[in-house]
Amino acid sequence: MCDSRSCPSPGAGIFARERKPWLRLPFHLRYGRLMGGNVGDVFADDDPEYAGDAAAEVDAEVVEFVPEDPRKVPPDQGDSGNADPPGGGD
Amino acid sequence: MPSASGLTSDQRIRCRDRVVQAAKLSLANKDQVSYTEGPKRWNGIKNRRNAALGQVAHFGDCSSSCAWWLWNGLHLLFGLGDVVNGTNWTGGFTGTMYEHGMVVQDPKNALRGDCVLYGGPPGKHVAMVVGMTNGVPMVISQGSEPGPFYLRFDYRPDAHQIRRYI
Repeated sequence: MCDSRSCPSPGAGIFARERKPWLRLPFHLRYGRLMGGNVGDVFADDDPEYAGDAAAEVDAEVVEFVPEDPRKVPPDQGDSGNADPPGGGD
Repeated sequence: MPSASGLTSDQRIRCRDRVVQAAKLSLANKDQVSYTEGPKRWNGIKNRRNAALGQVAHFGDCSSSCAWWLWNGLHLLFGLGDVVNGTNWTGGFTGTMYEHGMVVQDPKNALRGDCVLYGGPPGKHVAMVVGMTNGVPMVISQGSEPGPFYLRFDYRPDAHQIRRYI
């Protein structure tokens, strides 16, 4: 019989999910397809127009920045919720 | 079928370079960027701040920041109309972003400059894909005052859709 210290598997799973919030996502969101579009939407995945674009993205890895830990990032404040035109000036 | 922007393949590469350069400029100068949902969030476009010249947009929320980054490539470089929000580059939010562009269903097919929308329409947040790490889209997100931040695209549990405007 193992306790939480000597039996790492269950605890390790919980630990991993706590450390990596995306692991709490459903599988299809993590590795599969996101939600489809609205009625009338056009899909880019199988569009031959974009077939060559991915090849041009081979060097797309960002090397100058280190990803933030999502747990240390303040919650997003949301979007304005409206499309008002520009008004201010700096 | 033409691309979302109507640009050719070579033009899209140049456009993505410019768009991502603008997003990285905001990230690298986050101390000069303030989060606001007020009218000033459109100052980057209104004042024609050109990221290629090192000009940062000093105000923005998530959607206006994505719009300014895309505007740098689509409009400043190629003179295109507003294919992001459909407001002639004068406004917009996640709801109008949901109404434009093309859907990318599989995250592994995401390209730089694509936008990740969080929450179903009209949306709660949006961030921009600036690269891939081990096949996972990485985004720059302007969602709060300390931002922008560089994160995995699925840093929030409500990643709903990826849309392409380039």
